[in-house]
Formats: sequence, C-alpha cells, structure tokens
Amino acid sequence: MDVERSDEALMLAYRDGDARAFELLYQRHRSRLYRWLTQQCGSASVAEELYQDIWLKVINARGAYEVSAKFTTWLYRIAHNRLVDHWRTGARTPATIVAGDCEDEDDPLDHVAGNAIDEPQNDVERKRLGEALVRGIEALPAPQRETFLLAQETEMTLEEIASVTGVNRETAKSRMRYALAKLREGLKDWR
Amino acid sequence: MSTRDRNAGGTADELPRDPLLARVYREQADAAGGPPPALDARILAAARAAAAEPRRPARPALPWWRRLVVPVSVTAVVVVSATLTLMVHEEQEKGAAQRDAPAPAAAPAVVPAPAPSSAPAPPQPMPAENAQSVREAVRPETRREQASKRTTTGESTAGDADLAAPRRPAVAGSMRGNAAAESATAAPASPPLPQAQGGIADQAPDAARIGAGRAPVGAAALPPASSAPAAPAAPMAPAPLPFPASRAPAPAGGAAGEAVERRSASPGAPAADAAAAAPLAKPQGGPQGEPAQGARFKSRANVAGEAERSEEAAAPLQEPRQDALRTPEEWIREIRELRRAGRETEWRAALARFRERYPDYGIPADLRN
Repeated sequence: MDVERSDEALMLAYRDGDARAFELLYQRHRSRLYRWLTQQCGSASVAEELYQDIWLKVINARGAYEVSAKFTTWLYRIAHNRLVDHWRTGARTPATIVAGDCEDEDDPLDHVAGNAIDEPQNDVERKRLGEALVRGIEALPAPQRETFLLAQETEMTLEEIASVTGVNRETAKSRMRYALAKLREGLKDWR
Repeated sequence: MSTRDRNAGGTADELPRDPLLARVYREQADAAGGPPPALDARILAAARAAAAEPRRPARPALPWWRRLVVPVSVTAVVVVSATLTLMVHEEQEKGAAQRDAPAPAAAPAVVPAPAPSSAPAPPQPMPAENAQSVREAVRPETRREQASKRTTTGESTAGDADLAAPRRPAVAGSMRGNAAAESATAAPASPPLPQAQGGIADQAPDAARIGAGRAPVGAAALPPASSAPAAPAAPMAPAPLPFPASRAPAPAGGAAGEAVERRSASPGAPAADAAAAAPLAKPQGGPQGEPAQGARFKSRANVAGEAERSEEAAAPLQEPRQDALRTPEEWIREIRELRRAGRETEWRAALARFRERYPDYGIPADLRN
C-alpha cells in the first residue's frame, strides 16, 4: 500500500507525524541522491556530509512542506543549493562551476561521430567502459556534470532540471548537449 | 549500436539523452551502492525524533493588513514621538527666547528716570498710518475718559497690566477679552501685536528700542502711564523703579501703582528726573494732554526714531541712570558720605531721590532727621 503512495503523499504523511512515511521516502531516494552527490563532489566523505545535511534540511522543513512541485524536484533543489554552498566555500573553483555554458555555439553533438561507441562485448569491457564514463563525468564542468547526473539519476524533465539548477530550459538543454558530446568524445577510444 | 539512434539530440522540448551512456552509467551506479548504513541510521533517527515531537499547529495565514500592523504601528509611534519631541523642543526654544527677549529691554528700562508729574509731556507726532489704525480701532476720547476713571478710583485692569507687560500680550490679550482690547488701544506703543506676529529675533531689538525710548520698566511691574493721576501732565511718566532686577517686581497695579501716585503727589521733582522725562516726550508744540496721548500711540517705527533721539538725550540721563544702576545700599552709602562731607543740600536732594525711587526701602535712622 505504502509503496504505491507518491513521494508527495509520503512527505505530507511525514509532515503530519508519520515517521514510517519518511523511511519509505528515504529508501526511494537515498541511493540516487548519494550517488549524485558522490559524482558531484568526487569525495565520499564530503558527499556523506552533504547528504546528511540535505536530509536534515528535509526533516526540518517538513512543517512548511506543501505540494507545489514534485518531491524529487524539491529534494534536488535543496541538494543543489547545498552543493552550491559547498562550492562557494572553495571546494571548487568558480571557473569550474560556470564553465561550459556556451549556448550560442552549434550543437556539440553534431561534432561527435555517430557510431563512435560500440556496445561492450563482455563484462570486462563493460566495466572498463563504466570506469571510463565515471572519469569522463568527473572531467565535466560542474554545471554540465550536474545536469547530466540529474538526468541520469532522476527521471526529471527538462523543465524540472532547469528548475532545480536555477536556469532556463535552453541553458539546461545546452548543458546536457555539451555533457553528452564531451562524454562521447571521451569514450570514443575507450577500447 | 549507435549512440545517436534514439533521442540523442532531443527534440525542442525534450532533454537530450543517450541510451547507451545511460545504460553504462546505470550499471556503474548500481555497483557503486548507497550511503553507509551508519549514515542511514543517523538520518532515520533524526527523522523519527522530529516526527515524535508534538507538531506545532500551523499558523493560519495572516491577511496582508495584519502583517502590516506591527511595522505601521512602530512607524506611527516613531513619527509621533519625533513630532512631539520637535514640538517640545521648539516650545522650549520659544520660551527661552521670550525669557531672553526682555533682558535687553529690561536693561535700558531701568536707565531712564521717571518723569516728574510737573514736567510737561510734549507731544510725540504719531505716524499717519498708526494714527489711522488707532482712530479706526478706538476713539481716544473714550479711552482717556476710561483711563482717568480708573486712575481716580485706583482701579487697575488687566489691560493696564498689559501696557506694562509687552511680552505676552498676544495670548494674554486674547484671553482677557475687552480689557486686552482696551490695553491695545490705550497703549499701542507697547508692542503686543508686532511681537506676537514678528519673530523672536526682532522682538529683542524692538524691546530694546522701546526700553530706550520709553522705559517700560520691569515689564509687568509698571503700571500704565494712563493710570497715573497726572496723566494729562505726564502721561508717559514711568513708574518709580522697583528695586533692582534681583528683587521681585511689585505686582502690576499694586505697590507700583501706589508708587506712581506717591511720586506724582510729591511736590518737588528732581531736575534730573525732569531731564530724564524730556527725551521721553519731546515738546512738539501743542497742548499738553493731546501730545501726551499721541505719544502713547507710538508704533515700532516711531519707537525706533525715538530711540535715536534718546541717544541724543543720553547725557541728562546719566545721573538717573547711575541712580538706577546703584543698589540702594550703595546709594545710602553715598548719601551718608555726602552728609559727612557737609553737603547738606546735595545729600538731602539725593535722599529725596532715593525715597522716590525706593519708596518702600527703610531709610536708616541716621538719615531720617
């Protein structure tokens, strides 16, 4: 029964004092959020600190929670703001944060060969491809990385990603295109 | 398998996706796992603790005007407080200025000596505008009659007091009604309205001019000249000076009025007093009574001119001025010295002047005979 309840319904139930609802909600999002943070920070310890802070913010904000958007959007907006605060403390240079926003350029995906990446034939190749992808994600500029990870870890739409990251749709779309292009370019010769 | 086979570029409203990259990422992410169990336990414990707390009832949303009540109230209190503070400050400044304004007037006020009753009170030409306003305001004949009536009966009205108290006539006059109106017409030279209308800054010069020219001595202590019995002869004759400024002035129309009567009744007025009265009412020709009345209707401009004229007549005033500036004790001491020196006439004359000036002062026994 609880499994069928939406995130928003669970959060409202937790707001009304149902601790079990929060546990269900937490189980749904814990791994995704943690991975998203780990990929963003590059450090498990920092990711754990941010992860705990984010969930504590959710707990403390339960009293004022209203269903104005999807719970996922709300949760990741909190995470984004906490991550930006973390970046502002000097964990990452601002150049890294803002790099990659070149909306006026041509579609970066047009410059990537269409059949550059082939399917891995076995588990070893698959694992090597995964490791190469992680390295490519870490090499992305922060906004592009954040956008790509949001698209992968959540099932947000373009508007939701734009809302979470605080940019307009075109910017979010551009970031995603650049991220995909760079990852493809990096994985072109993974073999 | 191509990386751009499906939705790679994305349509205008869709997010660009790459299924192969997504699948590889998913496989890699699943292997990565989640947060450590200890972290999960801390978060869940915090969540349970928060849920166990009694939930505060959500405050109902306040209407917009309720949200503005506090800032508006605070603003109103601040504005009212500031306004009241400024008003009190201004009132205090006004009060201080009014207290200070008579000071220059009082200083010269003690300078001129009282005019003897026998001294002629020459007419003072009244400016045409003032005369016109006075004629419009009141008929002088009626005022003279009323004044002489009051004088003979010893009656002193608030209007009379206003004559000698030019400082607060505007307010006092409005409160006193007809009496104030009488005083305003009977003594237009006293500047109630100009002072009330003019600023504080020009009160002092006016008062100084008036003091130099007319000697409204000690403000309220002086009875009106019209109340003196010898009004026709010396309507401008100032009242005898009270004790120096350090002493409390006699009430208007009280002891000072009696002093006027006594002085007016005294047969031998000193020559110095006559000389002092001379600049107050310069002879311009004409009968005694009318010019005296005219002199009482002096305006500010007239008073200014009179002040200049009084400077010319400053020399005869020296002796009375000295008398006025001396303390009674000093004066008595000087009289004793004169007597000791054998100057019989002089010390008796000085004693007579002293008695006129300070009728209430106890004459020492050694000077009584």
